[in-house]
Amino acid sequence: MSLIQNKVQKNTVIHVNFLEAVKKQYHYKLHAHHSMFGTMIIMQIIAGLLTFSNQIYSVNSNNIDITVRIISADLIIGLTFLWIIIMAFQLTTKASKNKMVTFVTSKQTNHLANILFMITLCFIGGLTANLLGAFVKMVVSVMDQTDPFIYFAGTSVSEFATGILATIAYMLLIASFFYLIGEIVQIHSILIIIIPSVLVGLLFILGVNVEPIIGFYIFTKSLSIMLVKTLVTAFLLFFAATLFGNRLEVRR
Amino acid sequence: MIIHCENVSKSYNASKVLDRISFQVTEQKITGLIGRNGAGKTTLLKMIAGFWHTSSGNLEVFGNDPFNNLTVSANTIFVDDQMAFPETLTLWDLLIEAGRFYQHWDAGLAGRLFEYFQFNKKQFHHHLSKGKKSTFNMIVGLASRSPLTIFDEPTTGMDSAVRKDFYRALLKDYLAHPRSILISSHHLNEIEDLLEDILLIDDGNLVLHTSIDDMREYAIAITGNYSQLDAWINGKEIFHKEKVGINEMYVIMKNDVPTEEIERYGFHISSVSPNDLAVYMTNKTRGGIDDVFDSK
Repeated sequence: MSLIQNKVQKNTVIHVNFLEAVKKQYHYKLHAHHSMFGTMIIMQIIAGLLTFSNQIYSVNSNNIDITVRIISADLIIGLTFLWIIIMAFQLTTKASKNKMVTFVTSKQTNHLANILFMITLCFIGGLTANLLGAFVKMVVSVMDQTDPFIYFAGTSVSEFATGILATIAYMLLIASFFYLIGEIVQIHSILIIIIPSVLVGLLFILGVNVEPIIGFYIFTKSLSIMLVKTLVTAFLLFFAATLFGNRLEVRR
Repeated sequence: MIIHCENVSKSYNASKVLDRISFQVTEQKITGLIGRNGAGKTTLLKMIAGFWHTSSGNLEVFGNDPFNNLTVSANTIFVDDQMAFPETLTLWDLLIEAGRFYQHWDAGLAGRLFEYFQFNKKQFHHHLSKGKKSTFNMIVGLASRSPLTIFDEPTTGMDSAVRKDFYRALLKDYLAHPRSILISSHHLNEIEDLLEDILLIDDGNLVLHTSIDDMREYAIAITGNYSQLDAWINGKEIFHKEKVGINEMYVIMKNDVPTEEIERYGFHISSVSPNDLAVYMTNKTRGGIDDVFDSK
């Protein structure tokens, strides 16, 4: 006991700034998920390879045969959508939250860091998916160059930019939706069964028409209006997600 | 005020795990949280760390309700054998990341401890053995120098050489950089020299909160003639009694009787170590383990 008698009391309660904490968590998540970017690239490359063998239409009339071949980044983008759904869900799991609690966190800083992380993923995913799609188109056009009757309808720069922005926007919408669902499901595990059942019931059994809802986002003619619709909805869904699960215990 | 715990209870699935615990930690000290398995030590520590809710009562850490509180999280680190880390980061990566979160992080100390315990920078946490995991977690806990450092049975799986090193490292670093430390264990005899204060918990109740010095004087062991001693102890607070030898009794009781009185009766007095006292104060079993195996 005599060893400890002469220690000096120091009152050093640390105060952390909320945004500083979010920034540190965000960087931590980026660092921890570095392998997911590789996974995404591989998924996109696989989709890219599959894109080479796709839709060919033939039209015949008297003397003219027309073969139309459509190459799009759809498959690549679709797989990237799947990837972001998985990433969004993963962030809501107990395992993910337990990892945050080891260091410095609060429910709110964790939500915000997750959202910033997902936004980053959407930007990167949206960009690489469209770039890969353009690459595939370029390869196809080079491959078929020998035939003089090929007419290659390329993509203009503005179309390309639209594609990237649209992909990013849709990814944000999807990410925010599944992040919200993931957070709701954490409240009680029974919801994992109830929520899909309700959705299946609505869609297939009751035949509720979701086209208007999806069409609201997809069938807009103007890019800027579509962006506004999508981003505002994504923001609202993300915000809603931060309202759930704040009373849940961790490290159970 | 570091920890203010007032009538705190915790119930989980209709069973009461902690029952109206009250205590305060007002100074930077090393406090041992001692008790049997299932006494409620981990529950109490996880509530202090802000992981779990209290069911009732008032719990404040650094003046705040610890649950979902960024200030408490920034000033606290909870070390046990289940600390969760991303599987994708190497041990060295984890130390670097920890350094970003904790203002008082000592990278030099972390590095030297890391080398001393022979870790490999490129290893992954989930590939470590149980004891190595505990050791690594301990390094993170020590190097963080968090104003409130909680160790929940930190020596799980550690071999005795590593345990000794851990206690020594903890003490040395604590003396150089004082902070509030809560360390739970059921091996009081091992950590006795490390502790300043003790919280003894039994079955969800706080049995004792005292300094380790006071605990050494808290009870005495008396041996003497069976019938004489048996008569004398009538009405006194007894923690343990048993028959020894042919006609003698061994009794452990609260130390509130003058020594001269005991010696006048011809009884023999000896001291009771905190570890033994803790065991006797929390002893529940009727009979012994042998009864399970003796055929009826």
